[in-house]
Amino acid sequence: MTQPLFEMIDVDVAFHLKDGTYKALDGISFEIQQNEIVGIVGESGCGKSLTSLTMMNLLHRSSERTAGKMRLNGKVLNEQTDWHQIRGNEMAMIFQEPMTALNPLMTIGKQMTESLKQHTNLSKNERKEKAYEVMREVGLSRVETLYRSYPHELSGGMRQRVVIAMALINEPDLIIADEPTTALDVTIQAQILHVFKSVMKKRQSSLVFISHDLGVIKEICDRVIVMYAGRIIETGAVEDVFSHPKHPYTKGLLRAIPTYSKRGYPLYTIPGTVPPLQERKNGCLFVDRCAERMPQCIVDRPFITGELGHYASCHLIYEEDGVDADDSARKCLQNI
Amino acid sequence: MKRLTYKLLSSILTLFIVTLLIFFMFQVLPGNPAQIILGIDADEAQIKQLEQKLGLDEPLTTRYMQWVQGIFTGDLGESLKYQMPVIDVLKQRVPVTLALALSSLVLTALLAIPLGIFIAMKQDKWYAFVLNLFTQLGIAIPSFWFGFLLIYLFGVKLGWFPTFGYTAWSENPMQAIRSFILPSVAIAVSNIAVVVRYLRNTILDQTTMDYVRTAKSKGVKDHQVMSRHIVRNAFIPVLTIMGMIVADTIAGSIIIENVFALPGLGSLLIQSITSRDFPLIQALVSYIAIFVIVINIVIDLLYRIIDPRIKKKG
Amino acid sequence: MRVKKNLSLHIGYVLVGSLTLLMLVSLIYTPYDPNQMFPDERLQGPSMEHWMGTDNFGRDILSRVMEGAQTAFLIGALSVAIGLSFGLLLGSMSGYFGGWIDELIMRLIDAMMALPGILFAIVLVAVFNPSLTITIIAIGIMSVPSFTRIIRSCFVQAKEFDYVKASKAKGATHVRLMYHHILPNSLSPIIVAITLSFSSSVLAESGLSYLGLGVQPPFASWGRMLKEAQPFIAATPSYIVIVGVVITCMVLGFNLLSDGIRDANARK
Repeated sequence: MTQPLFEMIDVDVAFHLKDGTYKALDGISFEIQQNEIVGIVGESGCGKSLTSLTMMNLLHRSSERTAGKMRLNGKVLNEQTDWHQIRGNEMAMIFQEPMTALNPLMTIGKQMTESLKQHTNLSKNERKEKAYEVMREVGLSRVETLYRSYPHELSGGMRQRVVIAMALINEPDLIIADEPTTALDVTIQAQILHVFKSVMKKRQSSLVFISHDLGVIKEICDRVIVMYAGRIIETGAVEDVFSHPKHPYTKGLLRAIPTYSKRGYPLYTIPGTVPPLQERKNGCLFVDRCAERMPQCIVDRPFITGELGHYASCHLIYEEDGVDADDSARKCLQNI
Repeated sequence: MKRLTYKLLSSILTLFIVTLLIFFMFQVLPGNPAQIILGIDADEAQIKQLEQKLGLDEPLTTRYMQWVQGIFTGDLGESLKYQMPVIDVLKQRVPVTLALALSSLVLTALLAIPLGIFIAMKQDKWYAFVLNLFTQLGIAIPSFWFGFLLIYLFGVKLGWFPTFGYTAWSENPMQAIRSFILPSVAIAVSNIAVVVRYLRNTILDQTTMDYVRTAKSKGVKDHQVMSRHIVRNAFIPVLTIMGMIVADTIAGSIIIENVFALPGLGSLLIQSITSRDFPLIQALVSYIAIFVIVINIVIDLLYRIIDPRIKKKG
Repeated sequence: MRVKKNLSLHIGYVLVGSLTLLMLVSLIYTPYDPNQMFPDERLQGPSMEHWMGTDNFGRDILSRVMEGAQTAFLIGALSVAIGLSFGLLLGSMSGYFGGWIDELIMRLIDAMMALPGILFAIVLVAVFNPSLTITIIAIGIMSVPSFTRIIRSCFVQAKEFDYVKASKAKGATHVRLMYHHILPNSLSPIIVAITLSFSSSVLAESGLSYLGLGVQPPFASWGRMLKEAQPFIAATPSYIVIVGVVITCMVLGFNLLSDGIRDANARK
């Protein structure tokens, strides 16, 4: 097996809040192969964006990576790493809000070429040519005019294309896109997704695509990671996860997608909300909202298991696989 | 363009109100102005003469119109104390105050901007509170008292600077600069503290903005994120208080000129109040007000240079 | 972060509290008669008999500082009252009605602000003769612009709140809306403005009195004490230093207090 492009192994991220320190990411492990598009999906507050910020080492001051390892192309990434060298060069990021992600006082051109200035020795003219090229690649026209414009002169869709072009310009190995289409209206969304698909095919680089929208994930991703309350609860190839979801949460998410065939029926929603940081205990964190919960779910954290690249962390899987439900857990419960 | 036109029109309205205020404030003088100026010992003939000289025998609106016209033509009558045209008295004094205000503003800009950035960058350090307390102290200290301290320390004790008075630029440039240093510092202290606090707040606001994260994700180094991205954005709100800073500098120099015995508009104002030289006071105050209003228009123009968003919106 | 922010509130309380105490004590007791002169003990530094030393007439500085505190608080309270009343009237009308009323009031405020800070007070004093009353009125009017602006922005914001729109729809009168619904919800910025205005009135009073345009004898005033102390700066620096420190403490105290209150409210 070839070396993965990016690996995250057992990473914990802690939030330092006024009333204590809480684990916001708990034992996150995944790999991203060369030339692969991986989707991360989950409700808001489940740690998708936090995972992406951890990958770039852009965590806010109040949070910190407390355990685990990360590797990019086999190199270990830690506090000693020269992150300025990696960001915008080997890994680049696309943020959610195209309206605010650009500096309002700087021309598009200057912002586009900033990472070239940082990471290459290209002359000013070469940088400009390169910017034109990438801007055309993401479907922008009149690039010479755009180059001299300020962000407020562009529409939301154009800005998001600029943001994407900005991430692409230095030909990074890995691009992380955090809800890049969420803030856009539906037609623009489709266009931007198309840009992603075509560019990634051509570029042969990898993409982590974060979204709460399963439809979008299904459309462009090879593999999907489902997160819930700071943990990965299911992962696998998109076809597998979508056709045979293992975790009740994934099943719920899939049921909640509005489709044409469900017309006329009330839209399904998963009852309840993601437990807040302060209330995350042992056991499965989804237990309060789960229709298929069992006694051991409350006390035992299910470990992640499965085969053929499709894994989930749920006690139901052990049952299916013939693993006996833990007797002691049941006893434990009776004693409470 | 609409914004600029609005600004100009509203400034004209403000100007109109200012002239009304100043003119009528001196009309409500209790009793006969001529009597007050001359004192109780004056005889009837003297009062009549002065009334005529001041134009007090004309109707109020005519006098107001004439006076406003005078502001723009520079014909504001004669100073009672100096027995010469008001405008000439002002002309003698303006350079000192302008030089003082200008050097104080330069000092403010030179010190407040780096200090504001520095303090903003140290906000998560344990000593941040001490730094913030210092800026509070800078705002709380009465400028004229700070002037005394400077005089005592650098004038009396160390003898580095003259303790009062002023040497004309034409006489001895070096000495002129030296006589301006302490007063400029005294005026600037509170303004520096105000700008530092304000800049610190706006920088901290900007630091959490999305575009800062974007810049970091491109691999831009922290100090470049600060200098290229944050500071320029943080500066726009600071511009809004620049008008106030300029106005405060003028107000500050009025007091400080009296502390250091500098022959500028401030000491002139106090002298003419003591000698009840009303034409002079009226003119002086009007010109200061006009200056402040004009500065505010200039700052509005500066906005459009710094912020590209305004040009489009118009 | 929490402790740090509360610290400015606490320091503010301590400074304002102790100066208030000093002022209250001076109403019934001062170490000496503030106006009693000891010709043999002129311009002394701090000693056991005179804790803050004596001035150029041999008067006890501590007693005069205490009496000056009365003047400072009196001027502060009354000028804030004047500024607040006019500010409430103009600000609420401007913010509530908007349109040309707003435009006119704001231009009036701009006009007043074109005479920066103390200059406005100086002009008023020039027209009338310097006295305690004129000082209070002048400083009060000087603080009208900032009160007006703050109250105006409260009203502009509050107008958009649903409960205000709802009561308007129910047919509440303008006055009722303004003073029963909007005003009580704008209290915290107004309290911040009051403390800030108090500190600037102390600064303005000391400046005016230093220029000889403020409080006149027999009222003791910190600003005039500084004026009297100035010629003796080389001989008795302690005189000028002590009085200045007292003024600074007062201003600093009120500023920290307003900062602390604002932070405390922001955290809610």
